[in-house]
Amino acid sequence: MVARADLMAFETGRSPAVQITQRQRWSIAFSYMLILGGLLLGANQRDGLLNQTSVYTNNAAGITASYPARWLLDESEGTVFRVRDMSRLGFNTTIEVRSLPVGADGAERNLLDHLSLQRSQVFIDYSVLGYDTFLLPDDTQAISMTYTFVSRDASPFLEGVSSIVNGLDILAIRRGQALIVSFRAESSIYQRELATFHRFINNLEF
Amino acid sequence: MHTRVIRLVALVAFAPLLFLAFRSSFAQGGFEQSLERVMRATVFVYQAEIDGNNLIVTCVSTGALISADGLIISKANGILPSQQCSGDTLFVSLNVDLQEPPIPKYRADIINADAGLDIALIRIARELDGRLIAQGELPVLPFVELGDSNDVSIDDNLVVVGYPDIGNEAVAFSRGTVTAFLAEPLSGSRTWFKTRAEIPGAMAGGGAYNTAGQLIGIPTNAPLAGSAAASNCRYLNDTNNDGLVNSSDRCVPTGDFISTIRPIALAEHLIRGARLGLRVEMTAPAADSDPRRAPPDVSRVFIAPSVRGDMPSTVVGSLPSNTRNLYLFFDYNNFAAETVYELRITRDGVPDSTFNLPPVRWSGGERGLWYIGAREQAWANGAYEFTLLVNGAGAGSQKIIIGGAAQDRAHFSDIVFGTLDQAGNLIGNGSIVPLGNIAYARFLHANMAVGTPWSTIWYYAGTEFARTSDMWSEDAFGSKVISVDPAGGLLPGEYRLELYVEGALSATSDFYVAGQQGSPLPRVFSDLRFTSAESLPEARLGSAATSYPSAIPALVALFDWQRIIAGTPWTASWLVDDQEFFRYSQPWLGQETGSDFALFLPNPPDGNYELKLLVNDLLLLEQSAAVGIGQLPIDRFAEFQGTILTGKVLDAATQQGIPSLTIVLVSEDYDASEFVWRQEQVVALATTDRNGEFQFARPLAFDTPYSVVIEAEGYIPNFADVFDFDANQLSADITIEMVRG
Amino acid sequence: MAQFPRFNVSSGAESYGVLPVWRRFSILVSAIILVCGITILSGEALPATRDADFNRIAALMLTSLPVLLWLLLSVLPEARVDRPRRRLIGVAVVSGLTASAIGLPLAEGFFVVDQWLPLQSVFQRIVGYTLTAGVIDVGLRFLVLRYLIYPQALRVRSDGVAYALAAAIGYSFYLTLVWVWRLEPTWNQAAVYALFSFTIQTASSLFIALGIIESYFGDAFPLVLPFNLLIAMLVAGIIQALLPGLLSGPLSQAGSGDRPLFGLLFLAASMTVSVGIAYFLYSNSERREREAYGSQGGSDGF
Repeated sequence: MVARADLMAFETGRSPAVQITQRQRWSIAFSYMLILGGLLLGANQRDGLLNQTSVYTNNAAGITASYPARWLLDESEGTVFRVRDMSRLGFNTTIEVRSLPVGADGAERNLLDHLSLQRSQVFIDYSVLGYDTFLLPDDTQAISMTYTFVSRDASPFLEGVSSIVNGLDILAIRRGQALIVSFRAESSIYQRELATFHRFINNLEF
Repeated sequence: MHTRVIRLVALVAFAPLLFLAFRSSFAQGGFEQSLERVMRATVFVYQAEIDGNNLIVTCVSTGALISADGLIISKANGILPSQQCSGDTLFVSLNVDLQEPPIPKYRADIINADAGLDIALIRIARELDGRLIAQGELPVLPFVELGDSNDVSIDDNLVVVGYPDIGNEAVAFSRGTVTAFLAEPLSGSRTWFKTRAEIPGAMAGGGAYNTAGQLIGIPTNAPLAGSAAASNCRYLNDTNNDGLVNSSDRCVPTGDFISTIRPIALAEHLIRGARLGLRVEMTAPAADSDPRRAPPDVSRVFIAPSVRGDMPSTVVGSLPSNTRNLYLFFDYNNFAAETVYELRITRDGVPDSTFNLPPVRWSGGERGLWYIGAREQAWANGAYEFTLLVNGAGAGSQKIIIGGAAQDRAHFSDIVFGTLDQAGNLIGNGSIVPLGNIAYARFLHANMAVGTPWSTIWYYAGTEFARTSDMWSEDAFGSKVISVDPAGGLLPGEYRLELYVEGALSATSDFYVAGQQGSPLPRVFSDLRFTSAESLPEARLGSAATSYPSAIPALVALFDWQRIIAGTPWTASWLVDDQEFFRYSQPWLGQETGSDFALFLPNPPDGNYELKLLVNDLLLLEQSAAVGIGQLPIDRFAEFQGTILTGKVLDAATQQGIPSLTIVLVSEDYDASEFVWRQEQVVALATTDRNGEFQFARPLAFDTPYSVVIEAEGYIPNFADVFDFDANQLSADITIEMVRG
Repeated sequence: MAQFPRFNVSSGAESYGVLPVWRRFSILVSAIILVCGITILSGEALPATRDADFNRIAALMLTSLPVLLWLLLSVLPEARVDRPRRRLIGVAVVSGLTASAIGLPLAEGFFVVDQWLPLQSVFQRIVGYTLTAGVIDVGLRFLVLRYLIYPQALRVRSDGVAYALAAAIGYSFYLTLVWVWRLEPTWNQAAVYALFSFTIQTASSLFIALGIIESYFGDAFPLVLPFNLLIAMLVAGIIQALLPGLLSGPLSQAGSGDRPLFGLLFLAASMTVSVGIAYFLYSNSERREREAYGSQGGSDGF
């Protein structure tokens, strides 16, 4: 009766005085190594697949970039190119590269303000959050602008979903052309996705 | 009594057959299949004015999307700002659910309009909150196919689609038949379609469709409402800010039931210009818009059995049985685009709605000779009275009896004007005479007995300047040439000749004197040429050419003019690839003689452009020039045929819709396995809404094997290689279940 | 040097006062497959309901089904034998807690498998799930077993199987619970997932058990245990990688639907094959050992 009562109790403590052989110790040690090695390999595979890239080259614009694999590459009018993560549920995280001519008297800030004015006409609740400097991989300074807006699926016949989007523009001027690299992601994942953008910027040649 | 019973039995027996025939005629045309699409493409337009924080709806219209990029056709009355409809902002409501009233979604801009035709083209340009819609960001919208209204015949079935109430009811349709065509100078015998379909006034501006589901006309009306006392007017807003919405406020007019449809052919140039984004700018002086203009009036109402060059062939007081052509002519004065006119007809004292014209907008000029009638349509015998109403008030009437045998009465007909050549033959075009000393008129005469008194009266600018009276001394039948030589010669302007037989008006016709003597036509316009420039001074200095490269800033047409007096009707018709996209037809407003009249066409696409200059509908000069490859690019948005693919994406585990999931439609040139995520491989994208529903608004071309790729994080990818619909499938609705990975 | 109970294989476990495992295990597995199978088949025949309360209750019942059956078939009978396995519930609970505290956060937060694995090819999914979810699930359950029963609660070979099953039950219960709580699946889909989770954890646990048994009772070569763990990870990876693909019906212009029957057949087959292989290896090694020590009698078999 006592034994039955014991049975129903939780027993998680170790029984004393049971020894294992050296072989068994090695077995366990190897098992730990397998688990650890598996986790490392898993992390490695995760990084490999998550950070897989495709190469984009535009000789006319003098741009070479590595963008996340399986993102939709779009070279339509108005941009040098744009890539979007179409597998994302919600706002498709976007990286966009634009090239604009710069006048002799045009300052970087003027260009960003012009962009803001344009965007305020088409983006819902567009608002500039701030300006900052940005260090490019070649150690040159660029200007950055962060902003936010609301994205809504435009189909008028459906009950579209709205998303709050955060954006970041990096503007650099080279040879009389302003290159604007824009990154936009849903605000809830913006920080996480920012790493993708930094990898993109680090591999961008122009 | 016996006959009545037989008629009743026959009616009962044939009614089902008629019903089946009616149904099958629609079914054969596939209208039932395309009705849903037509209804989806039917929009509701609010015209509103924003007064501080207060938005006041001023007018409403139904409209129809005619291209996937948001081009809408509607009636102009209710769209264009006017005294009655003073709003300056247009809101477009779309049909999200066919069973529900439309939902405001966008704002629109006016692209092209003709107040007289009562047709306006507007384009969705802004979000509801006023933000601009970036180019290419507007989703591809459902739209209707344009039909050929010239193919419509009497008794053809038609369906009118629109919103029967002011944004408070779902889209509806009325079925009917074409009962008559009405003729006006604007477009000959098919200026209006008449129908007996029950069309509520709020459906004006919507579409009238043939059995193939093609748009053949725009139902229009011209409500006289706008005041509290008016009928068919809804009070929607507290326009006087008294805290109440009642009869003290300004109401939104809807108008009475509609029975007139403006054929779509009359709007083709407006539509083409709007579709191509072509907007011609002119250096012509602005039209006179003097608000102190005298009230419109009508005079000299008479009836003619036929029309020759918009002029009555002859004047009649009665017509025989089996009359099939009848035209009511009248002089009008002080008319404007906002003038509403109406023709009421009674036969033997009973209102006859076959050929009447309900209140419509005026589509002519400020003054002149006008007609309304019907050609090659049976007029029943009886005593007719035609009453013209202008802005709701009686303005003139005329009576005629139709019936009995044809009478061999003495009469004149078919007056034409011109000059004489050296052999004494009348030359010219019949309605324009160059400046000179003498104008000649030739007319036909019939049944004229010798000794019959006849007379002529000549008018210049509405004032009599010559008159003759005589006894007939020539053959009973034949033609005769008469002339007039006013002191000081012929001045440029409008002339009129009236011919009387025994004191009664028998024939009349107008003509214009303009331009120098030419061969064979008067030389009113000259040196028509094309240049390319960004500004008028630059254009005037530029050298003329007939071929230009693509992407020029503007194509400019320049011409000189001679001796054309203000008020002379002239027309500039601009065509691309032989299709008219711009037509300016107004009285001449400029100086009598001048040079470098310019018509600007900014950003012309590749094409072969041709400008035609006319006076009084007579072509006097034309010139053409090619831009780029000399042929218009294909308009992808005008492609109508295809299958509308809609559906729902569900999470297989929860059976709930997956929101914000993207579905990729891959070009038929690639298999799903060949899709490497490049935009050029993509035909269209669709994103699911919060219920998981999606819609490829762009139709999928028939018999084209598209591929579909769906990749969504957290789910097993789904793809298919053969999405291939045949022409029988205008829409497809699918459910896709996604399995979590 | 302690005397280990590995010499105690006899003609009947009951005779040693230990509850036999395999028959009850097979009954448990069969019952779960049967109930889930009937539910899945009913789901195919009946229209899916979106009544949230009904679905949630049904999902919770299906989630609890393996636990209840396990308590009924494996835990409660232990009270009737002389030498009960006292740590079954403890192993199950700790296993579930481990899944909660480490397993799920590691898979979702660190490896974020949902973001990248479902979109990969089948081969990459197998490798990916093996190296992530497989390693985590199997590794954690091995650690639980290592510290709770290895070697102190191992008396006979069947102890390894019984405790591994307990770990699988606890682990899969938590994962299924979280899944149905988050997603609110329809009742028939809950059956698919309950069976799926149970199959993955149980099938892989069998190979963990085999490794522990071989290591402890057979004092096998040191790589045998990790090799068995690797097989267990691979089993978990393969099932997890293949099942969604089988459930996902082909897309056509008529649409697509899921295929729970394919899932049912696959899971039943996976379980049967895993149990068959595990039992074959188990009885084989037991036979070898019996022969090596000249013992008589049968084993703990079906």
